[in-house]
Amino acid sequence: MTAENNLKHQYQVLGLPSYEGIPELLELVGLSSAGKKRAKNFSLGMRQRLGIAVALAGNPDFLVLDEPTNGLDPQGIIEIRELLLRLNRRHQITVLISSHNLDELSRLATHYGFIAKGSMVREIPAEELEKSCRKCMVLKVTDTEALARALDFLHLEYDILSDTAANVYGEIPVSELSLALAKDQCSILSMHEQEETLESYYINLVGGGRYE
Amino acid sequence: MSKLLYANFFRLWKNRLFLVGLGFMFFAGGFLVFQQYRQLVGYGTAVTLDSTFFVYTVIIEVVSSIFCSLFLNVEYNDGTMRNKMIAGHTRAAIYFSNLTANAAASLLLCLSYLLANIVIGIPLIGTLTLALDKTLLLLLGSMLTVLALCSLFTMISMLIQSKAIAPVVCIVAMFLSIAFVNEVQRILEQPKYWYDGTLNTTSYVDGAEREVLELLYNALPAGQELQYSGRNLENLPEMCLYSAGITVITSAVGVFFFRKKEIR
Repeated sequence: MTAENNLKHQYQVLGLPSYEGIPELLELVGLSSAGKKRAKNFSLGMRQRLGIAVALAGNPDFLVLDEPTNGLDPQGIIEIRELLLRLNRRHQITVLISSHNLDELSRLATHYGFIAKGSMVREIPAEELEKSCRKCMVLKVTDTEALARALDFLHLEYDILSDTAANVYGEIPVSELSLALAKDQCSILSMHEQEETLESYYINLVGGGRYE
Repeated sequence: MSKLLYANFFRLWKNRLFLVGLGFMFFAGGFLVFQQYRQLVGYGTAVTLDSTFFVYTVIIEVVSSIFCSLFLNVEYNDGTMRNKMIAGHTRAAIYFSNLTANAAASLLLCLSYLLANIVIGIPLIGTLTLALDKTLLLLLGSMLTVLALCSLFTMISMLIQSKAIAPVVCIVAMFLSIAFVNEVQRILEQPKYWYDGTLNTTSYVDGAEREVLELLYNALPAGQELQYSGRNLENLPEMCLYSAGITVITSAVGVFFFRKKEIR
């Protein structure tokens, strides 16, 4: 059937009284010029968009999408992403996306839920996740209390991980820090840069022990 | 269920396979009548509309097996099945609305054939010579058998999710069934005596074996359609009961397993 007839079919399944809103739906998903075209001749991206249009047929407040960008080319991914953002921001539709494409999710999601072996292992807002994943310097020292005092003095943001390790965020004045720690009889054992990606966050979460 | 029926019939009228099927059945009806007309004109053979009027019963078995399976199976492919469940329709309602659509489509395909026979046949070779009551009984009986066939194909198509496997199962089952009942008919038609009436033939089957063969011949939809195409009313009540039984049983089994089926 054509895209338009597919939507009419869905309207009938839902028992909607008229076909009002179909042209607007097609325009919303970017298929206004393809309404009369048979769906079997659609590209994968167009089919995905038609699928979203069918899901929107009943004016839902909540949409559940399973791998919406699977198999799409980069252009298609961008189109779907922009459509979902439009649905959320302009039409106030909440969207639940199930996806393995972490990079794509990082551009879209406001809340994350990580599932492993059928269970939800972590739910986290995007802002918190971004904080957890930002670039930092991992310092291994002999005394983290001394380190904390020195970092407070230098007005640097940090997280103490253990008795000997800490993550430090921002530009570190290495010489000043070293001198401050030396005064407090604290030695720096090692120092390296670390940037957590969403992928490494996920792997740490589900693959090799808990991420704290 | 009315919403589902409305949606199914909307899809049916847009379905190319159905429209091609209607055209094919009309063409088949017209073609067979025309062949009879050629016999009449070319060789002076006495022909009547009776000889072609009920042949649809044999053709519809194959056409219906192809159509029913492909019409329903696309719902799995396109996710329409899940859409209907998400919209709040019960599995039983989905099953029976699909069965109704299949049955209606198959009956319309039969009517297309009959229309060709009437529109083309009557002007060319005249009307039916069979009595009206017998004609109506044959039509009723054959339509019940078509319903039984649709129930069977619906059950297969609703339980087999694969778009490739379901039509193959329906079509192969149909052809095997046709081949089987043709062989059963051949066996049952063996004469009891030699042409001079003196000696029993060795190929005649009687007793329990004959009863079993007759049961199968009357119970299987392919056997029923073969008898209707030959305008045989002898076992009509029995065949109608078998058709009703097949319809009820296949529908019950189909709904039962469809309710338990995981829909992906």
